[in-house]
Amino acid sequence: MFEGPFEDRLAIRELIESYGDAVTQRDVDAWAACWAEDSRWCLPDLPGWERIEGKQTIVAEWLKMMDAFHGPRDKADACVFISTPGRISVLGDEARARTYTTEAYADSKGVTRRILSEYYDKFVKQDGRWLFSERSWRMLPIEDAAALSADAKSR
Amino acid sequence: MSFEGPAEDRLAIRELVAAYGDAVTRNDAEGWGALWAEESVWCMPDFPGWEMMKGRNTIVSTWIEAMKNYSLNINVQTLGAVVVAGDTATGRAYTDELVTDATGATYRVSGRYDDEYVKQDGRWLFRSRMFKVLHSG
Repeated sequence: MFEGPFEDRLAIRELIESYGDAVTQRDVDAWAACWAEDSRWCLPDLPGWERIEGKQTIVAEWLKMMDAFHGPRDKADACVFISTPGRISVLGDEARARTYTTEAYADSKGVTRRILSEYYDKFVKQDGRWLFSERSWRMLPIEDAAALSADAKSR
Repeated sequence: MSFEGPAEDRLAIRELVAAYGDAVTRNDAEGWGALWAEESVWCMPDFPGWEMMKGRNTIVSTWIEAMKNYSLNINVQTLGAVVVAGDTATGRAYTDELVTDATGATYRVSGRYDDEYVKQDGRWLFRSRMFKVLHSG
């Protein structure tokens, strides 16, 4: 379900897409600009990254994650990150969404892998701009989840 | 680059990009051709012989030939950025494609289009698209 003012729904959809674009472009400034200062990033499927608080910490942990999974920092396009919202509800200066993502990248053997996942998102509008106040990520079951998990552990 | 410009233009460009994927998926040459400006450019540097096509007629005839290499191309395109400046705009779009090629092989392609758009007679059209394969398999 999508509910709330049209311009807010469009801006939130674009924020979700800007986040994926920044991952793909490997643009840390553009990625950081998607987050509110007082935000939370929850990745319960990734030990050590279950709950990350505050924009500065979130950005520092993201850089570590990108290094761990996607090679040198100057390597744009290492991970193609595409997102589509399945629902958006706007209530004044706050909003919630559910977002589906596909991430395509090369594993440690150079084989193309794809991860499908969903985010439960919360947003806040500050100074006229929508930002993420919380993203909670969960991997969706896929055929080669065991192979992906084994590859991640080998890194 | 982010998203900038009037909301109605940003929505119309989003729909143009979605319509492109829809026309590829349905292999609809007429619908696909209607998305391009007369004086447009299509670049696919990863594909020898298709590095640069100029003009809508050439672009459409090349596309009809190119599509003969695929018995299936489910083509979904998602925006990464759009900046509108009056009657022109630039943007980035990502593709998620499931294809079966002429050899019978089925695989997925993730790619990026670097785009320029132009508004003519109230309609947004592609002025240029450059495609790059990012991941395939």
